[in-house]
Amino acid sequence: MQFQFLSAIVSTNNETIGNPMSDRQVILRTESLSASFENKKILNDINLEISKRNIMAIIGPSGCGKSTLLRCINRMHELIYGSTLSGRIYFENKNIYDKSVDPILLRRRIGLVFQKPNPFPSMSIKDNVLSGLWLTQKINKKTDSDHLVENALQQAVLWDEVKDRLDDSSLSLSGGQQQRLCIARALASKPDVLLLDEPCSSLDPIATQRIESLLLSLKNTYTIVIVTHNMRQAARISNTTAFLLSGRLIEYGETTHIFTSPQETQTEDYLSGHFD
Amino acid sequence: MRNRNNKLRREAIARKERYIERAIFGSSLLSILIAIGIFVVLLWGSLPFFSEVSLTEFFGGTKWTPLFHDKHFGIWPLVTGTLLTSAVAITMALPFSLLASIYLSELAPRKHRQLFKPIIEILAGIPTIVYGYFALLIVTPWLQQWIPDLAGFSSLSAGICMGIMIMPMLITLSEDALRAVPSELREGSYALGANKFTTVTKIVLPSAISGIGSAILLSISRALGETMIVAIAAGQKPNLTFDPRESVETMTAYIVQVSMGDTPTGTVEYRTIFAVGLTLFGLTLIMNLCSYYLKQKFQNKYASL
Amino acid sequence: MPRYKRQPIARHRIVDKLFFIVCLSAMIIPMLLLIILLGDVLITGIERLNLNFLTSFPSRKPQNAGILPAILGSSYLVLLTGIIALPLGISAAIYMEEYSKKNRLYYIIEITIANLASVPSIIYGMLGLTIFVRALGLERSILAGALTMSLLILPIIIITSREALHAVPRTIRDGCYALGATRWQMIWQIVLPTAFPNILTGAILAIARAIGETAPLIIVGAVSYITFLPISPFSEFTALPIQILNWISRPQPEFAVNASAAIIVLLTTMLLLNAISIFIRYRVNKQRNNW
Repeated sequence: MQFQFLSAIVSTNNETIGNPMSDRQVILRTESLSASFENKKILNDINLEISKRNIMAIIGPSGCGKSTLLRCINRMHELIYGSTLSGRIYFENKNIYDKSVDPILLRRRIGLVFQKPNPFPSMSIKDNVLSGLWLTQKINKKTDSDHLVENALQQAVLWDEVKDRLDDSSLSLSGGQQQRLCIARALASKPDVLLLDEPCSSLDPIATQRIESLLLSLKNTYTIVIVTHNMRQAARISNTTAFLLSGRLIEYGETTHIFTSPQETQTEDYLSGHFD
Repeated sequence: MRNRNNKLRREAIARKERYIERAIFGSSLLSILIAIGIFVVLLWGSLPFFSEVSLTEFFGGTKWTPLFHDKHFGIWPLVTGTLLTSAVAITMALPFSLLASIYLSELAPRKHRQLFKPIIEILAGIPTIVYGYFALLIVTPWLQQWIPDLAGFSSLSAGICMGIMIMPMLITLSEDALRAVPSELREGSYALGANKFTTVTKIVLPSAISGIGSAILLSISRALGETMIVAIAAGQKPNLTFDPRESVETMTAYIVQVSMGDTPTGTVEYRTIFAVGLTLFGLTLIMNLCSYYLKQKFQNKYASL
Repeated sequence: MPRYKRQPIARHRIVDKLFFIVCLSAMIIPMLLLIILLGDVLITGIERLNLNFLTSFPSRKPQNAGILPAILGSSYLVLLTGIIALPLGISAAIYMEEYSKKNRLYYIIEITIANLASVPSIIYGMLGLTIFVRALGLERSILAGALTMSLLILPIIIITSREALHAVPRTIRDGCYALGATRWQMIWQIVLPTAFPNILTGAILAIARAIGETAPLIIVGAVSYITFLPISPFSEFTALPIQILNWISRPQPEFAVNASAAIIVLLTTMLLLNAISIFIRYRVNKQRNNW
């Protein structure tokens, strides 16, 4: 029953997308990527391609390694004590785990939005938007940056709600607003790729809907990878979907295909609600 | 019969529980009793003093010579002596402690942290009399090689040793404050492509600032009330000066001087120690309360995150 | 060429390296300084440290002087302090953690304890002088000293014991109640034994503090020149830090040597106590990693 319902969502969604995956240029590619934490394997031999200006959803039951995969892509995984990693990730055909690559500069091009909104509490709304530029010394406090703030907040569809109180504390915002502020913060640094780790898991349905429409509006400018355990969300917004189970990539492909005619029985089981 | 026995037993248990609760409730009230005791003792001891010496003389005078023939009871020389040694100590301790706490909380590999933490803890336990020895017999002769006009007793030498003494405490408290900053904020900063230095200075430190402020206030309070180092190495000369090379007398050192001397009890000279003690207690209490307030504020800030 | 590779050695990397070095030095330099100072004391004092020194009475001749009364006085003092302060402190902690409702009184007691922990030790000396030495007429006795010291370390014991009790998981308590235990049975048979190692750690540190404290003892009148051994809680006494202070204050350099030797004894005791407490905690933490 649910299965049918999801396919229905996908088919309507796909009409609006309209361009097949094969045309797309691959921007990120993982090659036999494995990651572990304190000797516990979290990701096992992941080979995945992510194409440019596209929304890819990564789905799977909790604990399957979705978040870790995201953190590997912008080299945040290595910040955790006790983490190890093997394999390669190619970003624009360059292995990001090559010794010559500076993770700090890489992270400036691949933004990450976390599961729990984490605006910087010591900063105002405006300063939060600019924090990426400020922290990386691209601007200083005196730079005239009002247009940057407005741009980023417009993109994150938050501008109208906060334009009159840009100097308020970021903690005065609601959860959904905080999460959009975090997206605005990531966008202000002008990344090429935006990674989102279950951005809606702590939000109510209305806030979730806003973030979803925001992501759809960003699709033509950014490459977006979103981790979600909400299958309907994946079906609503993504062009491609990857299904992870117990640290393995079971399959990935166009969302329509994955949801309507999955190749693997495990995918089919998951989509029809047999586990999670 | 059996029922009745059971009932009696249950009652006996319940009675025992009540007695125990009352007894330990009493012991928790003891701390309030001690606090009241401190207030009463200091006030009771200094009231007769203030009936003989006016408050304006005590808090307005700049000469402190109660043990001499020509008596003056202006507490300012003792206050400045106390503030001066504490200022030297904090100036010495703060930069080192702050950077060291950043090292322990943000930069150190886990192995190094596990090595340094117990060492710091042990160093925190060194009795202050030992620092007094350092100050008088090692640091002062040492400093005199570089600063020829340094007196044999000086607030510089006492202050430096006091700085080393409060460092373990300041490091531990600041580290606690830094570690209380949620890791999500650090991750947020790293995800934006910030390096360690900017993450620490622009995100972590500003977020921990009230916790660190609380730690600093508590260290100042500790320095103000520190006794043995200053009694041994700062001198016993009430001296209204801000020159750290000179000999001064702190409030605590004065109380020690009178207690170890042969001042007869019941005289106005003797009662000075209660007035001085009250002043000292007031100063440290303000610091402690501010520190407590900042700490609560800091804890509440991240309770919601 | 990808954009993130354009700068060969990025400025931010150098900044991070420098930052690390600066912070590490800030950690190590004061530690080295302290080690040098301690080494100086060790070198000065070690020649005087022999059995004779440990078993002699003070003397006007530095070569003959020893610390026997000081060691006994300190031991006696600490023993009494422990007997008085530990039960009081631990039971206050039990009340705060296990019984008290979080009402106004609770917060008043909490803020009072926090503040008492940072009241200067010399103030406790004045409290002890007025109440124990004068009002209760205990004179300059070990008991007066021990009572004063107990008040001083009471807040420390309460705070550390509370932390220890707090660390006992809720589930263990619930399990106990589910078996029909009364509150005190639960505390006495389950919570206290579970929290015991951590309480002990805190108690040892508090005791170590009592051994090293000097100022309150000066105020309550520990004397430094004693030629007899303390026999009852009401006799006059001296203590190790008082003896050290006495020797530091003398002009002859031989007495400074005696002071360093006594400091070595004092620090060794502290080090031992600290080592025991760190060892206990290390073992407990290892055991309880799976909580």
